[in-house]
Amino acid sequence: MSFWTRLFRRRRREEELDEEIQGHLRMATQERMEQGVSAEQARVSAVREFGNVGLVKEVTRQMWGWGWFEQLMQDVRYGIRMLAKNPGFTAVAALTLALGIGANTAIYSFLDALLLRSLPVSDPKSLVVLNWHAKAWREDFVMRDMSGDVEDDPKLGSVSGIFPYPAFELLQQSDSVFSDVFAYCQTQEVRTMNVTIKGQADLAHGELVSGDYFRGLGVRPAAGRLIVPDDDRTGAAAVAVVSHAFSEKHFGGASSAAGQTILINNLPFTVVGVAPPEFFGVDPAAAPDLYLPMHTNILLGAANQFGFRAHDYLDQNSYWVEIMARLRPGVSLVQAQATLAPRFQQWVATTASNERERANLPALTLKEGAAGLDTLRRQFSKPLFVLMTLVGLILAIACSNVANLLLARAASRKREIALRLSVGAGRLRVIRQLLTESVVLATLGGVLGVFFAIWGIRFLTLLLGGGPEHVTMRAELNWHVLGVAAALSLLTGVLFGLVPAMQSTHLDLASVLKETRAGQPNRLSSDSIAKTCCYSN
Amino acid sequence: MPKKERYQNRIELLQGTLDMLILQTLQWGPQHGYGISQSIQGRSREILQVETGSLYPALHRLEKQGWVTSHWKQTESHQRAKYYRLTPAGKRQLLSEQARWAQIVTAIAGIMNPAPDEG
Repeated sequence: MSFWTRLFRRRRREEELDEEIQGHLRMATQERMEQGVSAEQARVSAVREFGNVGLVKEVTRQMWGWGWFEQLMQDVRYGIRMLAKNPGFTAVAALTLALGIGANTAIYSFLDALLLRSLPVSDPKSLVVLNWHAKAWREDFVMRDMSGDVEDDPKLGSVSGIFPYPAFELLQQSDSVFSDVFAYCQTQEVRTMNVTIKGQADLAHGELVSGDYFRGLGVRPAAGRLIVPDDDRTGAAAVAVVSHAFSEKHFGGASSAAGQTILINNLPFTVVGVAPPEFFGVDPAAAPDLYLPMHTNILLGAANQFGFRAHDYLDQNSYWVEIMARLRPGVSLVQAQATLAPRFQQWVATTASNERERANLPALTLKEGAAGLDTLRRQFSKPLFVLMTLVGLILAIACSNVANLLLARAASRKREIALRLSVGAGRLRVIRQLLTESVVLATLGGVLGVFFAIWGIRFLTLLLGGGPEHVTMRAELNWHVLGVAAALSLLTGVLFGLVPAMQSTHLDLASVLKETRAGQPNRLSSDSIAKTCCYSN
Repeated sequence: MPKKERYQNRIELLQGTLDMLILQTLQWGPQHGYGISQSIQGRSREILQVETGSLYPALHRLEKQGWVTSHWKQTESHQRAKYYRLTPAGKRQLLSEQARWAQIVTAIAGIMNPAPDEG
């Protein structure tokens, strides 16, 4: 049964119940009149015998099994009316909450993008990142040349993800544990490039990827094709894959980008395809515009006196490629590491040229690759968690402020509440009603808060990215984030509503009802007090 | 607030019995709410007063259970009224309630008027 048929049926049932009760009263009146009682008296006595019509209706309606819903709708309607009656209070409270909820939603959307979402690739759980660690690397170390990062680690000494190209070739022969091994890097040549598109020059960030990079990640093109192993060898035609955002910015869409020729550092490249919109590379912080086959760095380096040369591919002591791999089904991370660490150990020992280097060889470790490389996480997760805590506190403060406002207002609503309690509303029922009202208020705050959040996300993107040109993260409002905003609204509604609701239903009915009507300025009495004051002076 | 509590207690107290009394009343033919309350009152010689706040919820509950059905009809004094009628399931329910009631009466009577041979 659909919602509307149910609602319609309920209407009719309601009318029937009313008619049933009116019929009861008419019959009772008529019977009394037949016994000789006057019409007026008969009516009064029948009504008195019947009791509270509203209450009878309510307890009867509860038997229909839909009472909770009706009460909720009633409470929501009443709540909206009460809020509309006090536009000032509502505006202040909703804005306070909106700021709190908005800030939380904005920060959460970043945490969501950063920590909770995985790479937009197929089966990210089977991806691993290859790292090495060593006690020290600055002196007497097999790595004599490098392009990339080495992190200091309190436990392991130094950790890094860059390897020499020959090590990549060695690890590519690990068919027993890996189904794919692929590499990528951002060397000096590609980090910032001059590109000319249809005669217009611009700067672009590139990434070098090995031929099986896209196949290994399981990414499908948005248009054209992606880079394949055949593109990644010396002497292959110069091709490039562009990011979806780049294709929109420069070609007006993915489909019109494929097949175009562009100049990169004045060398002609063919754009063979476009990466899908949600794909930002394995490193969310890098988010390249262009993906180039790894071997094109020989082309690009030729123009540069100290640029990349073909023999660098053979250099066993030059560390520059980052490696990721996909585990074969059924192979665990630990198993793969146990297989490969000795193999790498054996190989790297041959690259050492003296005893001191041999004493401090890098050791291979595997890490889960599911969430992309964690540069971005390392960089932003701590400040984001600090921010999250801060905005959480802000929301708590907002809640307590609104609770205070509600408490203040509860004082002026005492009479209304006392009246409800005295005509037979249960205390729980009144608390529920007040809570519904505060949840309605919080929902209003939540809706406004989402607008604040949209604005806040833009602002934070600029702040974290360092400028509009360098937007590194795609934080957005998705159902996750909206769900969190909704949950926050509900939670805050209950949080700030509960104490005022409990307190304001704890009343001495008689004394409150005897007071003058609250909420209406009692001009006469205050005037007379003023006069009394004047006269006494 | 105390008013409300008292009210609910009474509903609770009467619930099982009231349902049985209504089913029993409807055994003699379809009847409307007012008629049912008058009938119970009359047959109990004015001792049992049926509160409307218990009667109507009970009628609607019995209807939901499928023990009675309702339809609109003219009364003898030409007024439209909602008549309740016992269904076959309601008749079976009445029989089981009657048996249960008899048990309760015997049990309580056994306590209140102990048989002479036991004393």
